[in-house]
Amino acid sequence: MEGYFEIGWTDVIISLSLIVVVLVVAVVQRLGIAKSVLIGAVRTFAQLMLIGYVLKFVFDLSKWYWVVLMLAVMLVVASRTAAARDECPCPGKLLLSGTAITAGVIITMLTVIGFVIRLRPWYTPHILIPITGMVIGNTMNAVALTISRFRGEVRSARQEVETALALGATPAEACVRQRRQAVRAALIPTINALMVVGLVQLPGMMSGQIIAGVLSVEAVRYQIVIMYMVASGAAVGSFVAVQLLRRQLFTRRQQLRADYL
Amino acid sequence: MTAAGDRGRDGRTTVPEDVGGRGAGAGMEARGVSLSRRARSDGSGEDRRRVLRDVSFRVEPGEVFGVIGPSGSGKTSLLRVLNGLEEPDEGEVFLGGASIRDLDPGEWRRRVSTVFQAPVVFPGSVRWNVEYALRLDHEASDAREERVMECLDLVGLSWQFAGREAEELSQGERQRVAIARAIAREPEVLLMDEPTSALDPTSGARILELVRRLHRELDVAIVFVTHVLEQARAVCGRALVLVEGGVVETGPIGRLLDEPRSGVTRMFVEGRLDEGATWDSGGDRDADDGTTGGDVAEARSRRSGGEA
Repeated sequence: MEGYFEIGWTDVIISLSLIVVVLVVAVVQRLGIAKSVLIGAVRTFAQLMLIGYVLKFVFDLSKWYWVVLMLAVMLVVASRTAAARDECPCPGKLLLSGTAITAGVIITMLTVIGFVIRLRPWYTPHILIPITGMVIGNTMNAVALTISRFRGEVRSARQEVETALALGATPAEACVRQRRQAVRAALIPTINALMVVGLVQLPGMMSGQIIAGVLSVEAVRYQIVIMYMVASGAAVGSFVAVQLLRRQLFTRRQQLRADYL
Repeated sequence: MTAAGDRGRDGRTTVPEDVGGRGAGAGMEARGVSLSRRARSDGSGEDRRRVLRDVSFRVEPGEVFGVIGPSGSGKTSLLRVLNGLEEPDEGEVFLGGASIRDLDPGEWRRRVSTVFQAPVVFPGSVRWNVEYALRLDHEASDAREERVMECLDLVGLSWQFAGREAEELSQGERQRVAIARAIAREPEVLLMDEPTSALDPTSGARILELVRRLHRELDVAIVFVTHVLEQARAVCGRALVLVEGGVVETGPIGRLLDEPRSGVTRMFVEGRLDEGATWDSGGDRDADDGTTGGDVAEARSRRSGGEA
């Protein structure tokens, strides 16, 4: 293809020198992250190689159950990642993040598959998997941010929250300000992305098509829809997460569970 | 004082007789309240620290009842249980014959309001703060406005304060706003947790005067927590002495401070219960009679149990 520059395995190995730069910075500055950088580099390589083969397999078979299984695995991994990012000792954190991410993804995807892209068949793998993956990834980040921010807000405003409870407010009423702050903070990256998309950074999908030399107006329209989708997933996921976490942080007798803060 | 030791075998089903009294206010009764918390230092296993031990007392309608004791004796924890912010391991709290377990938490806290040690105000105007609880009741704005002005007047803040940002006020003014907010819904019991301890002496004295005024003008029982004996003497009618989570003695405040029956109370009154003092340094000598909830020997045995 004209203007397309192929990358060989040798080139990929040469690109590892960039990771060496990161390692040098980490070691010189004594950041204590050298091991994580190494593991991250290896994981990037292994995961992308693996997913390349898996995607090829799923695309070739084009069976709905393989597509659903793949999306389920992505959801589980995203839920575990979001749950693990916060140190909250409360039980059911995985269920919480899983429910929130799934809610955000399902509401968004049903809307898009049903009314926007109108996929036929609905499980068309080479469309459904990448765009759902983008929604899952963004929703995961929003949910993780919501969990840690909400807990932090309630922890730092514990006296305020308990004062409201002591005055007869329900938990929902007592932490309304903290809920708003958490959801707002979780959505800031998404809103920023909507603001500057195309001006500062080209989205991954468009970049891929530009590099492959196949950019079209059709692809731009797809990208616009995807931007709206990730925003919707993040908003729904964050909203559900904050509601569920609020229920975790208070007892049935409307007492703040200090041991969960 | 109603004897605290006459609680039934089944605290849940034995409801005390309604302690009617002045006006429509209700009395409050704690029966055998015990509370423990997970120890912070070592997270492994069920390492729990007892904070309250079998605490029983009764507050009559319209009285100012003191809870006095040294720092760390469980006074704040007791107030949190009385307000329903913490669940006791054992025991129960009654308000006018109704158990805390049988009432919706919102309803309970409507009737039992709390002023905390640190004067916490919500972001927003003084008006917004004082009418906070009234908004929870969806009261009409006219009625709210009228009540806000009444409450501000009662706590000695002029109406000009209504529009000011609460967070810009001095600590003493904030505490007045907190008190106005706590009494806005006309609670039957007002719990005050060392309301002067975060204030300068002048502001503290004004708050004490305000407590006396609330007692005179409102139909409300006040539970006043303090470790400052002069404050207890200034505002309380009766009080209990709480040491290491247990009631040492209950009685009229003058008698407690001037003629304590328990050696532990005497040590506390004489300032010998603080750091450095030991339970053996005179406690036994004075532990001479059947005090309400404990004596030195009992206290020492609790202490030697390593639970505190």
